[in-house]
Formats: sequence, C-alpha cells, structure tokens
Amino acid sequence: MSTAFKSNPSRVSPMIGMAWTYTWLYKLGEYFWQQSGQLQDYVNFVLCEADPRWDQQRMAAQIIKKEHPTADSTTLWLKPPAKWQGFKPGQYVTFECEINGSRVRRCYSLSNSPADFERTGLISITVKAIPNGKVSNHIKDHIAEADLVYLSHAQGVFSYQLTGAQENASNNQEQPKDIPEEASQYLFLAGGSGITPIKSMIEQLMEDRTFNHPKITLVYTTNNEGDAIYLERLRQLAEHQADFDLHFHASDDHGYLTTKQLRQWINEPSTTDAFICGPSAFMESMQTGLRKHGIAEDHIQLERFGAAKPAIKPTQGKLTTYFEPTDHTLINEGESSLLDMAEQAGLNPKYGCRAGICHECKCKRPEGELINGQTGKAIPHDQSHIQPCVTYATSDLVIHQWT
Amino acid sequence: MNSIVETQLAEQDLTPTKKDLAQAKEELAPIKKELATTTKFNHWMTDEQLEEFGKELTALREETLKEVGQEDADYIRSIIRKQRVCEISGRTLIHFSINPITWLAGVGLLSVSKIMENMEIGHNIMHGQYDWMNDPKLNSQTYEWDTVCDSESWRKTHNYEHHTYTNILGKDRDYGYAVLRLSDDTPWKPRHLFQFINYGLLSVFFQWGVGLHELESERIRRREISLKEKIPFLKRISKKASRQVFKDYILFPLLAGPFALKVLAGNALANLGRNLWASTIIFCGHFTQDAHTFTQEECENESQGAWYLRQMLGSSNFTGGRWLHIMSGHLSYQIEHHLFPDIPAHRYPKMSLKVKEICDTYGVPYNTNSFGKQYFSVLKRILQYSLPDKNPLPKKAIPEKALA
Repeated sequence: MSTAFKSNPSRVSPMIGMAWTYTWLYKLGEYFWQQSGQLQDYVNFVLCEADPRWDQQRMAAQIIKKEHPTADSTTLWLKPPAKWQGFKPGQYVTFECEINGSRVRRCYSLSNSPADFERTGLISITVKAIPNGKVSNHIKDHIAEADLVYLSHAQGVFSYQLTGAQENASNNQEQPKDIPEEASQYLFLAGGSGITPIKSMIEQLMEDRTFNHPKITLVYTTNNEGDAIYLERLRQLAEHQADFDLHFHASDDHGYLTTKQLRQWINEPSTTDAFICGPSAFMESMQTGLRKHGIAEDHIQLERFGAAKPAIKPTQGKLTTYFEPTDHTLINEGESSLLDMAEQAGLNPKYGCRAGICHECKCKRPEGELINGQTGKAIPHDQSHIQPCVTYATSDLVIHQWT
Repeated sequence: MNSIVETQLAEQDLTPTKKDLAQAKEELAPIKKELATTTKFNHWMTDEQLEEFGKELTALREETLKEVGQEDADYIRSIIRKQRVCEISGRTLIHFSINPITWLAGVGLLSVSKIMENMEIGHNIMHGQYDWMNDPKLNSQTYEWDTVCDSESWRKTHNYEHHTYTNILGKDRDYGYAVLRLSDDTPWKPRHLFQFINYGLLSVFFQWGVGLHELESERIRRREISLKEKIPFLKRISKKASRQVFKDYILFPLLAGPFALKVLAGNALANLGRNLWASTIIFCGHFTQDAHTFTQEECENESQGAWYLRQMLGSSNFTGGRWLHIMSGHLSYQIEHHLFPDIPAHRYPKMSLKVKEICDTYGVPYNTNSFGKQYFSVLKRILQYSLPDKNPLPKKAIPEKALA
C-alpha cells in the first residue's frame, strides 16, 4: 500500500493525506497524554501557565453561570473541555474543587439533558447546602462565575435505557434507541434534591421525539414549595406535554408520602419501570412500597448519590474488619490501630516509627468510619491516604487494597 | 595586712605542678566516665518536667496544624513554579548558549532548580508535609524526585530510620554515613586519618552516596548481611539511577546534536553543584560541634518528651536570609524540622520563636549560629575526630540553667 502511495501520488488526493496526517497526530497526542511522566508534567505546566483551562491531565471546567433556584441550593452551569465525552441522562460526575488548599471531591448528578448539552456546550449541577456540609456550602458561598473546577467523565447506571439490564450498564456507549418493549410507564419518584438526575431524564425524554416513549409520571416531594428546585420548569413541561404528569407533594402540609398513596400513580405494575432518588429513608420506603404494589425488583432503580450519607455513630462493641487481599476477617472493639490489625491479618504492611511521625506506613483509606487517634477527629471519606499506625476504626471496615 | 598575707601566700608555692594535675585527672577520669555513662542525656529534667516540655511542643504542633491551609498550598505551588521556570530556562540556556557566560548562567539555573527540587520540594513533600492537599502529584507516597536516590528507599532510610533514631549511635546510619568518625564512641582506626578525603568524595558524589545508602555496604563488608538480601533494593536503585543518567547524560546531550559535549558537561556541573550544596546543608544539621550523640540504652522506652529533647540536642540550625532558608529546604531550621517533620517547612521560622521560648524555660541548649560558623565547626569536627582521643567521654548536654 505504501509503495502505491509513493509511486502514484496523484491518485491520492491531498485532502486524504492531510486527514491521515491529522488523525495520526491526534492519535500520537492522545497516546502522549495517556502516559504519565515528567515530560508530560512539564508540558502540562507550560500549557497551564498559558491558560489553566488547557490542562491536559485533568478536565478543567469553567463556571459560566451561578444561580440560586431556592434559598439553600445552587445551580452551576459548567463548560466542560472538548475531550469530555458527554453523558446519558441520569448520570453523575465527580466534581473536584479546592477548599483552603485541599482538593475535595463529591459526586453530583447532572441536571440538564444531553440534548441541551449538545446545543449549548454546558452542563449543570444543582447542589443543596447541607448544614455543616463542607463542599455544598463552599459551592453556595465561595465558588464564583469564571472559577475553574475539575470533572470526571460521566459515570453511573441510573438511566432509563438500561432498565432491567443492569449487566449492560458498563457499556457506556450504548445509544438510547431500544426502550424495553414491555415498559408502558416510567414512574419517577424524587425526594428533595434527588430531583436532579430525574429532571435530566425527563427533559431528555421530552426532547427525544424519534421514538415513542412510555407515559411519564413524576412524583416529587419536598418539605414545601419553597424548597422545591425546578418546580416551575417541571410544571411548565407538564402543562405542554400530554404524556407527562407531575404530582407535587409538600410534606409540611400533607405529611410524608405513604406507600398507600403510591398506588394511585401506578397504572400497570407489570409494565412500569420505576426510578427513585432522594434521602435514604425516602428511597427505602418507596422501594418497599413499589414492591408491595407488584413492581419487580429489576424494574426499580435507585440512585444514592442525591442524598447525604447518614452519619454513622461510632459503634460501641464488636467491630468487624474484612481484609479482601487475604480474605481475613478480624473482630475487635476498635482498640488496635489499623496497622496492628493489618499485621494480625497477615498483610505484612510497611511501617516505620509507629507513632504518626514518619509516614512510612501510609496506605489507602479503607471503607468505613475512621478516627485519627492523635487528634480524636474523624477522617473524611474523600481523603485518599491515611497513617494506619495512628488510625482507629469506629465502624466495620472493608480493606480492598492496602497500598 | 593584705600585703602580708599576699607575701606569705606567695612564699608557699600553690601552683599545682604538672604532676599534680595529671594525678588529679587520672583520679577524676573514672568518676567522670561513670557519671557520663550512667547519666541520661535528659539528666537535668525530672520525668514530670519532660512530660510538660513534651506537652508544650505538642501544643505548638497542634496550633500550627490548625493554621495549615491555602497559604501553604499557594507557597509550595509558587516554589514549584519558580523551580520549573529555572529548570526550563536553565536547560534551554545550556543548549543554546552562545558563549561561556550564557552557558554558565544555564548551569547555575539548572543547579538552582535541582537544589530547590531536592530540598524544598522533594524532601518536604516526601515527609508528608503536603499530603493534606490531596493532590496526587504532591503526595508523599508517590512523589519521585530528581536525584539518583529512589524515593521508596529515601522514605525508609531517611523518614523512618534517620528521623526516628536521630543521632543514636549504631541505629542512625546517617551519622557519619558509615565513612566518617564524628564521635569518640566510634573506635579510632588508622583509616580515619584520611577521613577528610572521604568527606570530600562523599560531598562530590553525594547523590550516589544517598542513593546507595540502603545497601549498607559497611554491614555487607562485616558480613552481617549478605548481598543477596539487597537484590530487590539493587533492582530499584539501578532502575532509578539509569533513568537519571539517561536523562542528564544521554537524552539531553543527544538532543543538542553537535553540541552534546557542552550539554553533558553543563548537566554534570549542575549535578555537582547540587551535590556539594546538599551535603553541606545536611552536614550542618547534625554534625556541628555541639550536636549530641546518644547511646541505644539511654533511648530505650523513651517518652514523647525525651524524644523531642533528643531531636533537639542532636540537631543544629543556622541563620541566614529568606532565600538561604528556601535553598536549604528550611533544613536551616533542622531543630524544628526534627521536632515537626510533617509540618510545611516554611512555617519553621515562625515556629522557632516559640521553640526557643520553650527551650529557654527548660534550660535546653538551642544550637544555632551563622551558616559560616556552623559549617566551619563541622569541618573542625571531621578533622578533630580523624585523630584518636586518649580519654574518650560521651558528650553530655549541659543545661543552660538549673531547673527548680
């Protein structure tokens, strides 16, 4: 082939040659940035000095607009970089910003539709400020328009085209074209800020006129109307779309939503797909309710990121620690340090001073509640590494990988 | 009256003869020796006082940790920015120099960049001073620095061994780097007569000395351990060393084509500059005249307070301007660094005020002087211990004042 190219250049149009060179250079660039090394660090340093949005090692997104849809919530409109791969309705991103010099990460559902992103190049997240919430209050009070934050690609399987097919969830490229035939209704149950991924799905369904989607029912509950994000927008949609019903439920006036009430919105349980997002207690009661009314387990999807995790109180008594690398289970009362426990479990961890000085034993943060034995303070969940010689468990732990 | 007494006294010869003096010294020697070997380095403080002393230092640590935040993140980033600008412009100047002056300027910039990277950036990041930033590039466990020594080996020999067992003879292998005799506790051998030459060589090839530190060649020579045990380490160090050699002595010279030699020489000179500087700073930290050594026995089961005290007595500071401190990675505040190795180093100058105050309260000597004087005392010490001592006595700390 290459000889043909050389001997007979006139047969190959220059356009193809250029396209070929461009593709080749693009692939080379891609390969270069997939590697990590000093050269990449230095080139990236020069790029970031010129414009921090050109960061090749992280995905910098600029805040284009900041709004407060309710008193304690904030909507951020972000412009992700060109290499950001887009998303499916209902997915979330890992959002990273810097607070007092320290990088913190949280997962937030995207609340606009992919169609809207294609039109405007913007994505939006809405964050409700939790009392004492570090990131949510930082977003509310300190993040300003034109600031840069960092994103991951979209993640998550909470989406309608994957109904009943969780195993296909990893296939991110799947296009929303084949709605499972049996679905006659999509029932969305949103509690509080759990509306965000659901709004994304509903808007996308409304936009996508290329296929007939099932009837859409949204049951949205908050304390009162003042707390309800996007309520105006959703009411407008419901007014103009015959196949979309909105039922708003203010729990301050009518009490919490009961499983009994749920029945009135389910047309045909066997062909209903349900999506629940909201506080844990809400999700649990709704899930039980749906099951009671005859909706099969694999037709109910839950998204847990919308809700703040309940604070786990330090357990008094027996704690179980499970070491995945050695398949070892350890039961104690939280009296020994993680380093001691790892040794008991036969992990052979690196260690040094065993007094929190030398950082030699540093390891990945295991799953569970931990405290620093020197300060007595809880170790945040998004901290990447810990010093196991001065770390103690206050709940059950799972240790996936030591270092 | 007075004059009479004076005359009478003058008639009696009261000046001790040399013989008297020698006799007295001989009689005193065993007593002194016993005193010196049985007294612990913390002899002038009661356990309660030591505990109080420790608590005050821990309080200072907590207080400072509370302040750590944006200021420290901005600081280390600005230093990294300066270092990278220095390195890029230095390497560019070496490559495209038009005369010896521009070439030398390039060498200087590259050397400065390597010093900043090793001392203020790499060394401090690997101590975990910036782990709280949650930035994977500034994490103590993943950082790799621009020297032959691989960071895993460094974290073991430096962060753990040197910082935990500071100046304990037989435990802290940084003490004299197994080539220098810096205390009478090390038995004198004729080879010590030439230790000044060893010191010179160690300084010139400092990055290699540090890189091969974990090999424990002296223990292999004494057949305490076998070379086989060191194979994993040797694999690691050869990987790191070949990367460094490839970068400075093959890749960059080849990039300059016909001017390869010029680049090779420039890089070698920059590395030499960094080696001499790093070795000088490190020697000033623990080998000054008044830096103490400790025996393993006196450090057994030591309390937090005793640990702090040992770190203080075994370290020495030097004074200077802001940039001398930055270029030394704030190891000019070696005492503070050994007390609080994982607190961002640029906070040491401020902390040192409080540390001095605490030292003053508890009568702890605070070893500091100008850079020149401290370095001179290091050279003196290396020379002094080249020769044997007839009456070796372990050095004991002398309190600045007696405690109530």
